[in-house]
Amino acid sequence: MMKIFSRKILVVLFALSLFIIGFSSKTYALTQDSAPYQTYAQGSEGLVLTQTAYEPIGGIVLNSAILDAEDIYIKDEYIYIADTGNKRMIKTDFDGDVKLEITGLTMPTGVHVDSSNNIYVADKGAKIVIKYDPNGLELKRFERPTVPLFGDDTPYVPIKIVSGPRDILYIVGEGSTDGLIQMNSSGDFLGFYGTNPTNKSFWQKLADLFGVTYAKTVPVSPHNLAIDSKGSVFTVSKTEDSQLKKFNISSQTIFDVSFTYTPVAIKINDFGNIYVISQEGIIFEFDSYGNLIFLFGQMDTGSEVLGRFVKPIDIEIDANNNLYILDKGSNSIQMLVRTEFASMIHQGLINYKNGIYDVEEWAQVLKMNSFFSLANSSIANSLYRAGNYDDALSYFKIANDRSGYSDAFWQVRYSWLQNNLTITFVVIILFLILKRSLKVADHKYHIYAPIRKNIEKVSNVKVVKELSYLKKIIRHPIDTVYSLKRENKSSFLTATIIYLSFFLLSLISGYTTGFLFNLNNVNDYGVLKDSVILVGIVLLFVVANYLISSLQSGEGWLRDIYIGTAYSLAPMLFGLIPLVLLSHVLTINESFIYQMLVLVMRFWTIILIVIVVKEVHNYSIKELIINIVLTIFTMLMIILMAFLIYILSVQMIDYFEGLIREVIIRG
Amino acid sequence: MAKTKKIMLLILVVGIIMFSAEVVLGLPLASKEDVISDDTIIPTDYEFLSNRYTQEETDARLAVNEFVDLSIYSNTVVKNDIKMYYSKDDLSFVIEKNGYYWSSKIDTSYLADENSPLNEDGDLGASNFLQKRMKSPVIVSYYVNDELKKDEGVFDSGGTIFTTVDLKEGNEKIGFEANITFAVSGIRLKLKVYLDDSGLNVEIPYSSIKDGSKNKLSNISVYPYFGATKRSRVPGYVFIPDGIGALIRFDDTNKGVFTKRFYGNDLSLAQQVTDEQILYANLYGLVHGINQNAMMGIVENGSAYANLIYYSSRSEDDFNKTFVSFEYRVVYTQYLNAKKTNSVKMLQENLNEYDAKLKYHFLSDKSANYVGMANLYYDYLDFDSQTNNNQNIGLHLNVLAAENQQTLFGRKSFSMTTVEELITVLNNLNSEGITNIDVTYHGWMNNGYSNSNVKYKKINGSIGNKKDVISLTEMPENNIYFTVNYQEAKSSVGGYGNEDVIQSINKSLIEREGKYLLSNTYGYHQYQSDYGKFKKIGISNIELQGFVNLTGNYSKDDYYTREEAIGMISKYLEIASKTSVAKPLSFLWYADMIYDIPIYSSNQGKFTDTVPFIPLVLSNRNVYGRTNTFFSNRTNELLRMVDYNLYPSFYITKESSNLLLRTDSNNIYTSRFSDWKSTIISDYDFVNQALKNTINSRINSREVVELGLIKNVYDNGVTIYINYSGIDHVINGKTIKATSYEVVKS
Repeated sequence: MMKIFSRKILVVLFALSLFIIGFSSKTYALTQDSAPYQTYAQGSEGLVLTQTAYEPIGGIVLNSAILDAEDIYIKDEYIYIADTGNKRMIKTDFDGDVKLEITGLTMPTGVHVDSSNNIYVADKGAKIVIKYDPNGLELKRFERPTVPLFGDDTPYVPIKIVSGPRDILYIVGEGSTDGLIQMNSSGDFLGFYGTNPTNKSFWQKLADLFGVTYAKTVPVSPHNLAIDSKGSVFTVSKTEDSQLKKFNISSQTIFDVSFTYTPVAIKINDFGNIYVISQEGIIFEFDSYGNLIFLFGQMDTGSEVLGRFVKPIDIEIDANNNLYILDKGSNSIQMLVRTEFASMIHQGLINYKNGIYDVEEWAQVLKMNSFFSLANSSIANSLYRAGNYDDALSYFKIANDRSGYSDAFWQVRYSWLQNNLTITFVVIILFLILKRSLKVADHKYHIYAPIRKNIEKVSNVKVVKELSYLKKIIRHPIDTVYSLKRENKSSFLTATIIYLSFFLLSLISGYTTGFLFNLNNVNDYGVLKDSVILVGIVLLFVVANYLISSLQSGEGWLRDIYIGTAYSLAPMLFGLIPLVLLSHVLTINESFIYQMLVLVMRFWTIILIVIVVKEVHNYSIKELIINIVLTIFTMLMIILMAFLIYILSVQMIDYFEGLIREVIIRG
Repeated sequence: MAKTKKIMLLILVVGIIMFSAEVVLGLPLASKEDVISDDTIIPTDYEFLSNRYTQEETDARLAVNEFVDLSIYSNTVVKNDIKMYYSKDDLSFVIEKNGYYWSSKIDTSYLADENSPLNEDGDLGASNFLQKRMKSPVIVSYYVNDELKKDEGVFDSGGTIFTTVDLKEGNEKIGFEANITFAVSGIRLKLKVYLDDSGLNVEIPYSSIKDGSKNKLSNISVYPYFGATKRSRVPGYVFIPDGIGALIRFDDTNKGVFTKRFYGNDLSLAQQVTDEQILYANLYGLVHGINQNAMMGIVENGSAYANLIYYSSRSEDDFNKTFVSFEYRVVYTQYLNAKKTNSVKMLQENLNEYDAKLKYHFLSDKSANYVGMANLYYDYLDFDSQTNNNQNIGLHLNVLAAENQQTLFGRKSFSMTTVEELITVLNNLNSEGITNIDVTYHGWMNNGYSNSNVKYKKINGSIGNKKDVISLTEMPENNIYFTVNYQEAKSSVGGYGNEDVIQSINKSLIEREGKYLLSNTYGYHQYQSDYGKFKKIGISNIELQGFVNLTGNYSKDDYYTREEAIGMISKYLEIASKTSVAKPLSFLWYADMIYDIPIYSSNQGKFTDTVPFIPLVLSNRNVYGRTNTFFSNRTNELLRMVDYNLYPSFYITKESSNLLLRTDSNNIYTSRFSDWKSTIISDYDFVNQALKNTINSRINSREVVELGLIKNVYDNGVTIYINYSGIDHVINGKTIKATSYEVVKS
């Protein structure tokens, strides 16, 4: 259990950056939504349409109009609004009656209420955080920390605030590139928290190599934050990736999620689901591990349609898990109500978190949406926990969950070995005995004679004889090359057969490599494309090398390079199929074996190619290095030229096509 | 040494092969089938106050038109119970029905009198210029050049001249006709206003319209202040046929301007299509005083080019005004290259050719509300009678026959529901007591539902053959409609040429969601010829798909206006024995079976209510709502079906929708019949228990009794109470439980 959980974090940390590619909403002939936006969930191969999860039911009608409000906070039966344009903070109930009004603020942009109903207001204009008691009496002002740790140049412009356990405050400061400002209840500065990492671009790294100093890259400051019931802090930042981050108490990132939208606000509900709203009007809902549950929302196009947003700026949740979106553009708070379908999903997640692993529940969800990835992986996890490893295996595969599949596979393999190892050994021993006895029989009675005759006949065929050099080149590359070149031990035909086999084998390996190690999508034509490109590159190398070598007074003809390179693919030819077989029996834990063998195979091939080049052209080491570098350069040049020709011909075809079309239409 | 190495290698290899064989051969997937039991989400009170529901009528004030001065009128016409006063001096008129006056202009004399009670605090008042506009019978807008657009009313300057004559029917005066020449723009038109037995007619014949010498006519707004009310002095609302139907009540807030084109924007005029609900019918309504007076304006001619415009009070002036604006000319973008990077703006050269005609009907008392309007529109549409002889309601099944997906070489189709499987499903449901099922069978021909040739070539091989189809169509009681689509096609499918694609005014082929829109001429001709082939394989009922956008065609050889397109499309209904359409516009409501009608309006912030206008009009016809398969709030949506008098509809296939992931139908995320069977039966029973009592009858009145409680009264005496809220209600001693309904037979 622990092993799985920690691996999950690991996987999530490194691999599970959810790249939610920007989608364009399509209109379908059939009406499937009960809201003016489409709702998507995570499927096995990307986003899938699903039932409406939250329906818009209108706005909260406030008796006192708000202007450019930037933050809301909902606690118990009240809404607290940082009414920025009106320079005040108001507390209203759900009927819109104002219960409390705090004026005299300069530019309040953040509001938060702690467990004792004290109100914190972050005033961006006055650069201060003020704490009030539940009746609006000022209790404390949190001003700019003066301790040296804070820094003299660090700006203190608080825009958002939350309070955590023991009344520790986390403040988002505008321009605070060191992260969130952490203070205790007395106003003492505790340190910075939750910084965004910086990434050095390739050019910066290169410049560093040469000792050139670049302008310092400053991390982007977090934009908004939220805190969950356990005290973990979440931030959203307007960065290029890892926009959403969860931190533990020592300010380390527990996980992060990337998407291609610009988040503006975040909120965590009482069972840990994360809601993020972006500038583009898209609302995301994640579970507590960072897996996407729902994605929905749309921007308004001017008619103020209920459920669409003009300029969304904050998101809140009430006790019934209904969403509230603060819209700065229309100065309103829109309410989205959770549907039956969404509450079914939530119930399943709550049960799962509480250790109730109910396959039936998730099977019900699958019935409503057969693509729902979360259902498949939850069923898989439930089956796993129940010890039903074979079924869990198939569900993990559908859910595209490699780490889960690996764990289940380990269990299946273990039990197989336990059950069948003895039988396997018995079979092998019997087989060896059989072989031995047959050999003895052959010695006496020559039973193998007809087979031997056939084998001899076949091996005398020219192509087969030439192919046998494949074996030789692995052990004695230099001698083999000599034979191929000087003694004409092979032919064009054989080499072509080798290239074709290489193509076929890489195609097969692309499709049949075991699920755990196969990152290709076996359903589109990426594998075919990759194989074609691979063979293309090899042949391009052959051509480029010949071109360069003829300039560099190499001895080899095109034929020699062509054949030589073909034979140097021997390690790949021999290694691909066994690797495929291996990929079906290893788990992720043992992946280093697989990776290492793949590396050895490829490396060996490259070494052989280099040897072939050296021997065919009879170069010295220095000449060899120059030749290789120039060959690679030539390959790039050929590719560039081909690309240019392609672009130009596309332009030309476009032009003629447009011309012809015009003639047809106007004619 | 070598031998031991060999043996070890052998053991390793054998072990690996044996094991991987087992794993690679795959493990079976457990199939799960279940019964739905979902938690009911009960709408909070908040939801009922939103514009997704109809509101209570709380304002019972008497409506009085305070802005009319009858003394200036000398001419009168009387037809039945309507009396029209008109003046040939300023082309204004007043309609009197049941003691209430509908005036075409505002009497602005109150503005001159400070003490007049008609002035209220916070009035915007009106400048002299605006006051002249308040009397103007028409307002024309015109283009001075490609960029500059201006408008002009009849009384703006003193220079506009008009000659008026009485219109006569025999010896009787019925109205007037005026030839107007505008002073500034030079535009000329003829305006005819007359009364007949059904109501008031306002016409502008096309032949009379002339552009100015330099100014090109763009729009004509007809009697903008007809039926206008000041702020909230008159209780009532505007009815807008937006989506299923919406109301904007007169309250004192500034709701801005609403403008929408009838039947959606016109792609052939290079307009953008929005993804909001469109106006489904060519009418609008005004109610002045709930259950007191109502007026319904039907755009009889020219609806394809008409825009419905509503100005809320306090936006431009103090009046709520609703009117129709006819469009004659647009500015469009002409692209100069195929990549659409180079363009110019051009002004449409010729006027859109149609005769504009508006017909106003007047209602009083119990019919002066949206239900009365719906019944009046039903009479206006003049349907052939369609009697349902069943004891129970119908059920609609959307069945997907076959789809196709991309393989290495081309597309391969596979079946989702074969004909035999469909027969099994129908027998299954028939044995459960659901007998009159309407099936729309998609993707039965050529290569499946998407990416198929437009013309009929063959029945899809994977679903069955001609014999199977004949046995399907011969099933008694069930109606099977076979889907065809001659209106849209992807560029990669065959069956049509470039000359069959609709061209817009900027000479580009119209494309929507990756598909070309095909001309009605082509579509009709193809449909006709294919229908002959259909009859030979036993198919006589057809579902028409693809009428996604009403457009005209600017192709040189196949030119037709958007208005003419309405007539062309209506003719499609005459070919098959029975035709069904999904999401139809009002001119297709004559189809034998209609499904997937919109359940909501576009829910713009300015709307105050959603009313089920479309189901009210089609009350006793074969109408199905949104597909139940994709409901997210089952209980609420089922109650909505009972409330709106809609029958249930499901999307099903025999195979799991998993197979559709890599096809163009990947929006179908659930459909397997074995998963949905129990829900189909339970949903059907829920709706049937209520609506089997109202088959063949129409709704007489619809009332919001309390928040969340609706009362529908049918003309056969049955009353149904629908309770959306989470608490029980008690009416007249009867308890209507939370989230359920009660049927009361008289």
